[in-house]
Amino acid sequence: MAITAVQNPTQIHRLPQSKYIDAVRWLPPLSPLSKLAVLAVFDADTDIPSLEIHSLSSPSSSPSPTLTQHSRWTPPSRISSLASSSSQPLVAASTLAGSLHVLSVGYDPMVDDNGDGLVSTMEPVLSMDEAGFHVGPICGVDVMESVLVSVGEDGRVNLVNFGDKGFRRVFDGNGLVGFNAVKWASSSEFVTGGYGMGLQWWDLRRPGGPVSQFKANWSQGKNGGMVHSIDIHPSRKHTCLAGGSSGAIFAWDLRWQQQPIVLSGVGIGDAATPSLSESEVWEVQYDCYTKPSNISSSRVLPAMFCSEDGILGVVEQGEEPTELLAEPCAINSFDIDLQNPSDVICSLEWESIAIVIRP
Amino acid sequence: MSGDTNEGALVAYSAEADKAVVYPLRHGVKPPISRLAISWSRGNTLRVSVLRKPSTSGDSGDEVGGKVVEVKLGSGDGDGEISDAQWRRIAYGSVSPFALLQSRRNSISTLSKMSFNSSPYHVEWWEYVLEYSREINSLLGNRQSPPCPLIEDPKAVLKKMEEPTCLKAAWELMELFYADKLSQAWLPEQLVDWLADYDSLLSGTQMTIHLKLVDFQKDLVSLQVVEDHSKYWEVMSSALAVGWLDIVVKLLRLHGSYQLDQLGKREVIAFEILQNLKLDRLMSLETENGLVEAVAVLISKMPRMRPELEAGKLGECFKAKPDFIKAWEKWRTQITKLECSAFWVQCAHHQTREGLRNMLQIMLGNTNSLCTATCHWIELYISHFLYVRPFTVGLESMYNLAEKCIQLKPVACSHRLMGLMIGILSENIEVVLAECSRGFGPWMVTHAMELLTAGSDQADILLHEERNNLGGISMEELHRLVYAQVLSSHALTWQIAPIYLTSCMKQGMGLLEILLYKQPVYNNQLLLKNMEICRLYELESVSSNIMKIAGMYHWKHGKKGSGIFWLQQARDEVRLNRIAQQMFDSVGKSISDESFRQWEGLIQLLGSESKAVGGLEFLHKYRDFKKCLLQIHDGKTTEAAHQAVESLISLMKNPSTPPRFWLPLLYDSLKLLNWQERPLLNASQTSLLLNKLQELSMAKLRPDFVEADLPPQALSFVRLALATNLGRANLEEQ
Amino acid sequence: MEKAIATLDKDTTCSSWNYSGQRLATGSLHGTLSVFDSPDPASSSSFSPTSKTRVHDDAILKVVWVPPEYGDAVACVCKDGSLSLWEEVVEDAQPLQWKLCKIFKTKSTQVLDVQFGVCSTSLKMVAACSDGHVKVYELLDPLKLKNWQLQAEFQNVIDSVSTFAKASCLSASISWNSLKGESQEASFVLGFNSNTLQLNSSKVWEFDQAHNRWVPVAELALPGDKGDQVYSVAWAPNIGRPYEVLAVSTNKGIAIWHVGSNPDLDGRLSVEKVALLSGHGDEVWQMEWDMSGMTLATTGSDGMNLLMEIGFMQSHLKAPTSFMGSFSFLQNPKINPCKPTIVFKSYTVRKLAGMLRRENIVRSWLLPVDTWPWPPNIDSENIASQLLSSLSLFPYLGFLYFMSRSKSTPKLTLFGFYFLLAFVGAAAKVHYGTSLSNVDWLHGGAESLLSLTNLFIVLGLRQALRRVKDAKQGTPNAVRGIKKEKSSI
Repeated sequence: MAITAVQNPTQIHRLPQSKYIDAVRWLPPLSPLSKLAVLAVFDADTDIPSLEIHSLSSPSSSPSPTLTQHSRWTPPSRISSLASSSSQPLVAASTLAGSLHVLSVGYDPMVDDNGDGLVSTMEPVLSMDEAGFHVGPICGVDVMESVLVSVGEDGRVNLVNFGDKGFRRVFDGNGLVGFNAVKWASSSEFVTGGYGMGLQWWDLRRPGGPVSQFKANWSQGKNGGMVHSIDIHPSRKHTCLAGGSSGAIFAWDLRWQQQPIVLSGVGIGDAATPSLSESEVWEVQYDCYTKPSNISSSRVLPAMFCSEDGILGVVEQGEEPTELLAEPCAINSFDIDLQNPSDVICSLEWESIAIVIRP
Repeated sequence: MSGDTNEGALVAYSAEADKAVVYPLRHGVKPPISRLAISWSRGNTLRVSVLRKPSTSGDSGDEVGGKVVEVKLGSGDGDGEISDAQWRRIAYGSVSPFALLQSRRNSISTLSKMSFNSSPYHVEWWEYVLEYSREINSLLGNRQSPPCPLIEDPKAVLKKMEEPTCLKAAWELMELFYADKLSQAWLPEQLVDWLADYDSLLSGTQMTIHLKLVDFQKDLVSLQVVEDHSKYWEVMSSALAVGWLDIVVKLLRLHGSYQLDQLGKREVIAFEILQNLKLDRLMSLETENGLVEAVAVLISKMPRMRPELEAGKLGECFKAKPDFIKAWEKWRTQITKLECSAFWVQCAHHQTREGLRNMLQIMLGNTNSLCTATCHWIELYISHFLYVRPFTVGLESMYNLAEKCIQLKPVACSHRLMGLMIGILSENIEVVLAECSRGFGPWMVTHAMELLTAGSDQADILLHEERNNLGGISMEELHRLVYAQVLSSHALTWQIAPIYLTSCMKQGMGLLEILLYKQPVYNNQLLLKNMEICRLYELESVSSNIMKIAGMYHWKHGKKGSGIFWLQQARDEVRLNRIAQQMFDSVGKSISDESFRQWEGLIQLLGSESKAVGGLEFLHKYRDFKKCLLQIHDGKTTEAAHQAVESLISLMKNPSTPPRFWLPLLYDSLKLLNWQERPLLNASQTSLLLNKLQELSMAKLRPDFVEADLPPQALSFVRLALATNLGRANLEEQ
Repeated sequence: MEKAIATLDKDTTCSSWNYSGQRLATGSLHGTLSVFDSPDPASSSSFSPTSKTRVHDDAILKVVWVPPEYGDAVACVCKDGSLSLWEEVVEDAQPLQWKLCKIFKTKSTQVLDVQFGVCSTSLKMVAACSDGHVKVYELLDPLKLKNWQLQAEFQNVIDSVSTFAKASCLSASISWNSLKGESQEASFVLGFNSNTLQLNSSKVWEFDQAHNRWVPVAELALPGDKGDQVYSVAWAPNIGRPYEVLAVSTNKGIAIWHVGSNPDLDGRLSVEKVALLSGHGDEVWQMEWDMSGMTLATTGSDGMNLLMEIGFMQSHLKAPTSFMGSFSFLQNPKINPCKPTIVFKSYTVRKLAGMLRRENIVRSWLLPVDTWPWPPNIDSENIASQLLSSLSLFPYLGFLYFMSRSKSTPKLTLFGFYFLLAFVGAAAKVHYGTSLSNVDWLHGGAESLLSLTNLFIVLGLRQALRRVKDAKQGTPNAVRGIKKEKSSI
């Protein structure tokens, strides 16, 4: 694997954890020096799930950076989805048991500076596990300002506000539909995705159901699949990016309703679209580091994805996809550091974390 | 090949082989125990339910009725020197090298079979194997010593090393003998290094030189005049015997005679002594110094048959044998000269004299002094290579030597490394395999097999030949199957088992199919990961079966949407048609707006995949049709009725509408057919419906006809209505 | 080595794990069915009861899971001989709960054992009754476990003419043959413990699609001991053997049988008793093969009920020995677990060395060459046939996957491999008119071997095995296995 690092100037560090990592997210820095990441881990030996905050530091002595655990918190069940607010130091975690938890990250005043910056702590500020919130696992959660939206296999869409207790049911699919992913577009709009590669656009000002639905009827003999991840660029709220089964990455532009812009994937769109991966795309995010080749509002911005067959890559409309990382095992989740977007953290299937630092 | 007698000499033979091994199982259930129930879980794990005898008296309510105990069988290594997490890491890491090597073998065998042997880019197979071996070796932990302090403590004889593992030692041993063809020439020296690295491991079972050194290191700090202590000399000769020259010289420098600074002079004296010049003018002390220095010089000048030495190690390297022999002879003559020189009488200090002479004896290869100097037989063995038979090359008569050493230094209980060593020396592949498997577990066997086969053709034949008593599979395949089963015992490692299973020609895929079938389907992500494996190895039948299970699970557990999705993926027509029936009924029955909204999403979902739906996507149209009918029921609006007719016609025209729904549809729309004001259907439409009706009555005769639950005279009603409508329509059109 | 993963309630009488080992169902003396689950999917450390349902007033004797293709459901055999099917389901309004699907109850007879078999089209249920009758039911609607149809009813005898009116059976044991593919016919093995000798001996029943009836195709008993009471039967999963392996436990011990795959003229399968293990002293309660059909685990008592043990046995062993190892519940200081393993080793090493010196097989050593400079002058057929003859496509696919992952292989090599693969695919079609993925003989005749203990235990026993062979006349089975394989190719 060392060869990978040699071939391209991008430096890649693999940090074995000896625990399974379900999800990983960067945290907004609490101090200019610190670089924090939150890990949803599952200890296979003891079967205990936990949420851990690690600080990433690169000491001069060792060539590769090291993760040092600052604080951990034990959820009632294994964590299914993780979201960190970009504005304030908040972590939202949903569990397979159908509970939702919000933790605020801060410094521990008791523990003083021990060499590598202050020690950060987690404070549970909200935990929603009352009966009838969700049935079964929550599949997706996203946070915008002080409002959380959560979706699950049971087809429920719930809103939780930090301020008031209790939750607000936006929609109940009664299990007739199921959602896998959700993303806020604005403070009142969000997009959900689920089975059949479908996307739904919701507007809180117009309750009762999705405002508009995207049903892709793919050209080739593509027999369905599901959307695993959605991303929406703050500057372009009208297009939402989605990644799903069999390497499918596509953008849905509200202005051109029924026609998706296929960035990658086998058996969908025109056969010409090159695709790095043929299996599940677990996560997609707009990659603010890669400069788009032309900045017309019609073009989709470059997007990064990770896949089951071990690829971390960047795709752009009409461009050749670039491969950042090719692992022998699946890459289950990744996150781009908003403060310095060259840094990417990924969780690998084989109980390890990979840090990719682009030149 | 060594004979049985030798075997007998090595391993204690006992006839009571087929006696059961009995492990006590601690379950902590109070007797009386009435029954046990067993069930195999994933891989090698066995679950035992221990059921307590039901208590007849109902008073004692608190006690437990039994326990379920999980037992992991035959996985991992002998002792717990490596943690589970560490084992998993090794398992993950060894996948890629293994896979790469296998694919290379496949392509090579393919090409060579095509009489394509003379390639311009000719690479020896063992070079690939060596590359593989190195990669695996690096997995097992690298033994770099921490950065040494700037001011080195003269009394720190032993370097601080991280604790080595038996696994790594064993692997390096295998690599040494089988994979690394280049260094076969200086095998003995390699063994010396190996022992230097791993002698500490043997300390567990019995006394070793390393242990001696460690002890001596402890009390070295307290000692004032080291040369007065016999232990000092003892340790030095021991270290010398196994060729740890740097340590010996370092110790010699602690000799008291170095305290007074006459370093400049002493070298001269040493030189003179070595030249055996006549210098009786010397005082005894100076002689002593000289002798010590002389020995030190001799030690550090020892010729060694090896390409190079790492920094800090002493000796002079020789690549070519002739030069080495020449240098060796010269060195020996110097020793003998010094040995029988007259200076010894002038050396007053008794311990020094004896100690030094003893060291000379060792260097001269005196068997007795070697034997006394060493503790473990392997140490004695190594010392023989160094001093008794320095010109040994390859494995010639190595084995007999080993036996002699063992006779001289019998072992109480054999260490697993030594067992492996003996196996290798006896050039008996089965013993090596057996020792690997017994001492280091399935992982070791599976991966070390590659080294063995690279080692010799004989081994290759042995391991690849298909044996009837192993059920027609080769030893190699057998061990891979076993390892795969160990891998599949853990929820995290089972996903790499397929790599090893697919390298098994005969039974691998069979086991893989069962393994996949037994995976739980409750979690979508895990399920998709399994699907990926199926896709990779083209196991369509298995994957559709798994998706069927998932579909049924979701359907039954109130997640109808995902249920239908997975059944569609599985292309399970039978179940989908049943579901279609159910939904048709429910959509038909509940035509309130609320329930429509409920079905909305599901029907949307179904709409997207017209191919895989299995007669469900017509529900769209049916829903519209029902909506129109509903409006009619509320207030009879003619345009609604027209819409209804439109959708009815489109439904009936649509090929995807299953025939078994035709009659119910028509029956629903009786109201439309005999509409009061004017016929809603024109002649052509009506005749279309009549044709359908005709088809239907024909279909009744076929065996696969499904009877819709409608009043028996429904058909005749519809026929009548259609007939009248046709009549009216004709009238109107004229 | 062992860890407790669940604590059972008071008065638990039986327990059973589902197909994936993720759910445990137990029945109690008072007719309560409890289901245990783990908190997280794919975690199997601790199981706790998630539901308790009152199934019956009387005690539950046996719980059997329905195959997962038909949902999460269990069949409960109760003390009064009634059989009830319960499934976990969410129905429109109510929350998740266990509901009764169907009750099978007859005044005259009691159900002793029930097992489910997934056949190509439908789900079949075999129930063995106390009057020596076997009832085979078929599920009509794959979504509902309510509608069952009695497909056949017969007695466990070879010649179907004779029927035994007043048979009374204490216990019965059924084991299905897990199907591999549509082509294979459904079949199961059944044995009774009754006073009517003819019923007892375990027989293999196969469904005859043509005549739509069940026919006995083999009887697993030597002429001498046809009347022995059968405690338990177990059909080993087959991962590529040319014949089936079955275990039958009678009062004489545990017998391992090999049953041939293709029938003779009068439709009977060839059977061979390959081992008799004097395992447990008294009665054997349960026998379970592991997923690879390599290892058999059994439970039983030795009569005095002091020593209960779980034995292990390897399917291929023809040795007179009893067990590879066993877990004892008798904390006995005399038992020394570590010693025998050493003994095994030394024993093996000696015998093996002797044995292998006699074998001399010539095999061409493949000259190693580098692959990536692809020669232009190779025709695809050739490569393909070579590849096929070396049967190395399956690993190939796997490796391609990994090669394509690891950057360390030059792109050219990779191309080379894919190139080769493409050709093989093509040629395979040419040669066999089918895709390689379902060429059956690829995993052809092989007899499987032990997994739990290390190799040499077996190897050690090969000596004993030879002894048996010499004593026993008739060709050793393995040889026949090889013949079969050849013919199939």
